[in-house]
Amino acid sequence: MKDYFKKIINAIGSEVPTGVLFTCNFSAEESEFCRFNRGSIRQSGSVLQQGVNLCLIKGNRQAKTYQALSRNIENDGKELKRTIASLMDQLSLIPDDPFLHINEKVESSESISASKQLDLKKLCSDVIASTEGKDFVGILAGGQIYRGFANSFGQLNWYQSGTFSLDWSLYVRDDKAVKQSYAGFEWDRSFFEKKLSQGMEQLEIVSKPPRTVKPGAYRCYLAPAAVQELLEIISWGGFGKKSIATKNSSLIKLYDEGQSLSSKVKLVENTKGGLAPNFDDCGFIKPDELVLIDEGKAKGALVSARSAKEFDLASTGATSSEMPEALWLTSGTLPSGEVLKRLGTGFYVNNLWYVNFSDRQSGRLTGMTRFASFWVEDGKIAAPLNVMRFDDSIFNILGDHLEAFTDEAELMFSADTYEQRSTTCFKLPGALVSSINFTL
Amino acid sequence: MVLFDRKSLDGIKTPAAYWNVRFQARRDESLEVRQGVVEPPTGSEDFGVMVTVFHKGGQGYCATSDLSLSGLQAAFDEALEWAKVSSQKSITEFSGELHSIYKGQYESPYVIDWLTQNLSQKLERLRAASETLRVDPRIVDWSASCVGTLTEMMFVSSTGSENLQTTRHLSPNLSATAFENNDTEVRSLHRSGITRQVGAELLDQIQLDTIGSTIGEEAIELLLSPNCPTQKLDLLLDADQMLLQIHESIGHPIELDRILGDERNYAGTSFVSKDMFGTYQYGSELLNVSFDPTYSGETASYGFDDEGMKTEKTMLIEKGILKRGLGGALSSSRIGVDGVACSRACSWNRPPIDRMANLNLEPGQSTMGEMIANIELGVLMKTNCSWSIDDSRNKFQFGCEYGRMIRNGELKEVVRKPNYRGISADFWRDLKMVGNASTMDAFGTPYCGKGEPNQAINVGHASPACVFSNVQVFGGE
Repeated sequence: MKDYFKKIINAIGSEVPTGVLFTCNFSAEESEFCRFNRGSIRQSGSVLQQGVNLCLIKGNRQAKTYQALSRNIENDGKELKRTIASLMDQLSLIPDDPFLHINEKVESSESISASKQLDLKKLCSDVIASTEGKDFVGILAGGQIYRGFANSFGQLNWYQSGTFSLDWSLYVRDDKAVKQSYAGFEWDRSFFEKKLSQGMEQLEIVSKPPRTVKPGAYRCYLAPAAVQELLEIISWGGFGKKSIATKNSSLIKLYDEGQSLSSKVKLVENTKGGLAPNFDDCGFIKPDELVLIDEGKAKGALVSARSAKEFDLASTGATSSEMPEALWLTSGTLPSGEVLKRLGTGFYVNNLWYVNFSDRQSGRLTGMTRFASFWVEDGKIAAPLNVMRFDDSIFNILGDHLEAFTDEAELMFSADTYEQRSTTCFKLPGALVSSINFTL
Repeated sequence: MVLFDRKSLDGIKTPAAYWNVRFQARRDESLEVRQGVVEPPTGSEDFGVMVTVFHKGGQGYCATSDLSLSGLQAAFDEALEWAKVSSQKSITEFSGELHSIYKGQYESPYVIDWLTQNLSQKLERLRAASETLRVDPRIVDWSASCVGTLTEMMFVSSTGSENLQTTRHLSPNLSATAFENNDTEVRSLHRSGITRQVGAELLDQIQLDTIGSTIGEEAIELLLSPNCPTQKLDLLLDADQMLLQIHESIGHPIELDRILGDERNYAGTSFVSKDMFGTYQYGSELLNVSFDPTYSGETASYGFDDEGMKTEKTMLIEKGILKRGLGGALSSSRIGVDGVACSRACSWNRPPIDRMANLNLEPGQSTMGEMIANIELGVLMKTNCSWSIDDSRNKFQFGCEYGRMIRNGELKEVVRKPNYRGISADFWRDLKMVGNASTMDAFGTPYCGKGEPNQAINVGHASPACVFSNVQVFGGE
């Protein structure tokens, strides 16, 4: 695929007129998906897709477009020729862009994750056999992901990763289920079956009569997947320079008004430890680590190339959405084996769902408990919990009300497949919180 | 734009009992002027086909943008291999007999093609519109944007179905952010809720050139207003919030694939069960909901779904009683409940699943004035900005940009950060008044997320304003 990318770059380079610069972002994937319901296959198939985000720059003007490609270099060359002509027309019709900002320092790189060729069809057969008799529902996704960047200055960045992810739930009835996932570079059926066995053990607890709890404030343990839901909504503009500058960040009180989270909170964009490419769509290289919050205080923001120009800052290599792609929350001191004991009486929340803002600018969130969440009494799981809605501020949950993070952080790969398979991941501990407000 | 020639399939060989090929090419143009600066115009040209085959009761698909004979043959072969895997243990017996044979065409209504208009003039119009938003120095961010889309689709099946569909979408938006004393308020042009199949004439219809000053003034007004109170009272939802209310608490719960359990690992399940169809009192007798892809110009209008089935307007809820589900031919067959032609995919690279398309609430008898006059104590809410609902689609909380108190039958002070929460199964039974056609508007969103692999698709919701009684409302911090 890298050779194909080079041919595409050559085709572009030969068509772009003298005096015009280009940047080219390449993305491709050879993905296979198998969707399960009740231990059977619902939908299965393959997706081969590739294309370039091409930007032409003339003086201080820039015009951009995405062009899908077919992998037939002759046909693709014709399409690119037409695309470049169209972009050249646009350049004559638009004004100068004061925030034009591309990397002119050549910083080429290559990252290829070594992985065996995965046979997803064989994996599907394994899953069907291993889940016989179980109400198993979920998605298996896998295959190669490619990303590339090149520009007129000769920079060439290449990223290739072959992964799989199996994201599933085991159901007992209605909305009572256990959520699990298994992702990586190599498939190990015995490991999968071990996880399934653990899930079935939890399902026995979930199958007990559920408890409906009245609205109010309760002690809570949020497992890493629940913490991920909170941080995902906060990531939606929370750490981005543009959102902060335009007062739209949900962390505006942290960045602008001196409010703090708990001193236990340290959040890092850990590009080196994550899966995502280390280059952005303008050719800037991301730092290995970028501290966003340290000891509960704002330390850094995600700055895209465009924001860097607009706000006179250095780019951190953030994408235009300025969302983290490898968010690491430093673990704490609470031994995982002591979570129930330290929780005492309250909610053990494995998963949250549909988290959104009650008051974005105050960092006030709402969302639902989901899957295996439990009512705990005196350090013991008493009953599965019927779903509850929380409504509370992140400045409480990860602020004054945060008692401890667990001593182990869990690495979690995003199972998102909107448009293409995500390379976002998180490494997060669980959080013990003295009080979260539940409303419904 | 790349187009597909039906003759490309000549010479394809497959032992599959049934196949279909769905081609889609899509061109987008996204323009934005923010704080007087023209953002770089961003375009997109995407194309590809999805080949789906049924073989020995199994199903498989392969999506590719290699439209050569060899590329298409490889896609047929790969889809067949997946069908073989699927046939080991398929959720149902896949058969081409599920789908009736239809031929035809569909094209969006439009007068002026936005995409072919002069780029400089379009940007200048957006620049001028954006400037009308800045009515006060406390407006700290302001922008005008417009996304135009042209989509060409062709569906061909081994049983003889064949259709061509051309859609043109336009999605304009205006947004103003006001800030003072550590408070931020955002007001927008229906929060991107105007997404319609229409030409550039839409911009005159929505008064894009002048409406910005009202949006900017309302953002400032919100800054100076108290929070929405916390209490139970009557709630008047304008059409641009009914969009979300219908979508989340009627549309998703009655999707047959959710009831069948397909979505339980991601989008969720439903409080609705199979036995409820035909008898369940979903809402008050004022509630009438239609599935209507024939609604001219609405976001998700089409002639045929992505399995080739022909569409027609169908009532799903009549006088509050749940009659039909939102499910395509496959789901309908699996569950044994009548469905509609709503099997749709977001693009050529994702398989079709049950989708809402246009799900509309039929107009009632009341004018806006009559509804306001009928409320002793209540709040009017406009323009959704937050949405959250449990995975069974029952316990919800929604937030709006703009609220206004109603006291003794009159509109009173503006309130900021209005939110409300409730339970779907109860909420619709408290539907007290339904606005007439004069209160109706057609909104939509291109961002309905569902499915594994994930798909974000456009859905439309035309609705009048409605009044609900005894709703818990509250404000911000």
